[in-house]
Amino acid sequence: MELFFRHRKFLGAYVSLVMMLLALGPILRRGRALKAPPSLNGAWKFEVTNGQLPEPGCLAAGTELRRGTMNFSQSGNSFSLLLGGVAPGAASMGVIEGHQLRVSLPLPPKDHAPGCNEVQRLELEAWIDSDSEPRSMTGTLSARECSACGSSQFHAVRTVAPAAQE
Amino acid sequence: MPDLSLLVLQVAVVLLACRVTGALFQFIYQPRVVGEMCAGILLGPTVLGWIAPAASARLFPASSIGYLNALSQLGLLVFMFLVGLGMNVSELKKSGKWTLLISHASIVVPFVLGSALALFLYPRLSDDSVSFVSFSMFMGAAMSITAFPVLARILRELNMLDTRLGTIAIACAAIDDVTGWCLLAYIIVLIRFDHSGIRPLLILLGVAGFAWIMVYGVGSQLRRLEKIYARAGRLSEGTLALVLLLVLLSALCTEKLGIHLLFGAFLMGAIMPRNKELRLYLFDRLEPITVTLLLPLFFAVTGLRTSIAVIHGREMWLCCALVLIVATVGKLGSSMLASRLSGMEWREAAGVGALMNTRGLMELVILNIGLEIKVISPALYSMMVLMAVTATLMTTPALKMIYRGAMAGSVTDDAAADSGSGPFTQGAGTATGFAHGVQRPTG
Repeated sequence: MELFFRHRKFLGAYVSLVMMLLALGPILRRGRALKAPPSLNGAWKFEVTNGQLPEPGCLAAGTELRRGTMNFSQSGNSFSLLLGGVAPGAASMGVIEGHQLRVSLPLPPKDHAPGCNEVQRLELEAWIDSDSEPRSMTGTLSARECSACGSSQFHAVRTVAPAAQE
Repeated sequence: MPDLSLLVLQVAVVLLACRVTGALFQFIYQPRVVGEMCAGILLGPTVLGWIAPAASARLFPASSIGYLNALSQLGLLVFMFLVGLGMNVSELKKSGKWTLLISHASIVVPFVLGSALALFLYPRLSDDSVSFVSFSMFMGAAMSITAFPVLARILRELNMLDTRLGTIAIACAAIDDVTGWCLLAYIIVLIRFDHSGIRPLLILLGVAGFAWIMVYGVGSQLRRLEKIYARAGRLSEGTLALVLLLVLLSALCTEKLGIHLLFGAFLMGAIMPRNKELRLYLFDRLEPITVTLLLPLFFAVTGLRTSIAVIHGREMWLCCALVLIVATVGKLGSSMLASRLSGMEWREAAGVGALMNTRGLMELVILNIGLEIKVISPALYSMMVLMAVTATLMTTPALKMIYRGAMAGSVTDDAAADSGSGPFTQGAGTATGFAHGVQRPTG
């Protein structure tokens, strides 16, 4: 008992620390109920299911698009879309709302096609199917401010999932 | 094949940027290493990529970063060996109970606060490929780290290494580091194998077995190095190569066991013979090229991965501010309160808190691991890097503010006079045995 009183400050401090550690239980329980946005990270292969991709003359990234690949780098509800080998600097930020994603990618035209403005944007809107394995999405690709470029519907499948947790 | 000319140019640019920025930071009384951390950010997309995107893309094309990263990781391996070498585990055993309390408080409180913050951050900055448990555990560990080598460097530059405050902070940071790395190893195993039942337990048993073999098997054999050194006053190139080979093998073992290369390198350093001259000799041989040439590459790779542009919108900046506040309150507040409880005066307790909030290189190491295993997103990584740099930048001014007019050597006397003979006196001075060793790595 005497030992306890002599070290009561020290023991009290350690009891407080243990109590704090016990708070991890409720935190983890509550956290398990939280929903994070669907994962997009990694490389996706897509194919046009209806319509045609914007003409190469319209978009500098037309050739990249024709490779049929896109890469996503995601941070929660926002993401960067990298088309083919386009450097990260050319990436554009998009948003995820529920299972829907939207991004507007600024693309300088390589050659001016008739009906295209100098600054064009590639619009991507898609819905992610979180239940499919590998993960897939369907959506539309269109070039804004370019009447000659048209739009297309696509289906994409994740080919390289994040190499994260083995 | 790497473009060798480009790689050499990259190394030259990184080296120049780190030297210049480091010198500028020293000019404003900040440790050189903080300047080098900032140099990495300056070379990344945040500054160079924003001001001159074309030059940045030409100098650091995405395809070349892998080679630069490989070089930097090699430097980091040797650096972690040096950090382990600078730690005297037998001295830690002698730490007073209050030193242990301060250290444990400075781990537990930020860990729990970091995990609680994860409740807010997870839906905003993570995705469903990462479980909440992994995310929150990692956030807790990342929040509870103290940069032991940077701390030693700051204390040395402020001429406070041998003061009571200095020895307390060094002892606490050393215990923090050892605990932090053990904790992180455990968390990495949980994160990497959280879907596979009994596997994490087997891995942890494997890691424990490996550590036991290293400490009692390899460690006792390494004592021969002391004899060789005592006989010749130096180690031959062959012996030095053997030491490096053991570092690499140990690193490979921990990687194969499922944790990370760096743990093996750190463990190898920690089990090296405690002979002070031998340790200094190894520092002299390995430190210059590691700290001067290879470590800046790590800062550059960290900077290249950091992009302020991905932190956009009010909500993200709110997350960033919360990360900084929670990290600082958790670390500084808990260390300060525990120090006060131990009998220190408020001023000295605040000094310990400010020192323990130094994050530096160790935080960057952990964040890079987190990004590699994809438990944190690029945006959260950038926020945490900003937090690490800001917290480290804060240390010197905070100390100067706390000890306004009573800096450097007089800190000892003031603090000693202030604190009288509180219970903390048991812990004072316990760290001096390894303080000399740890001040060598500048990261």
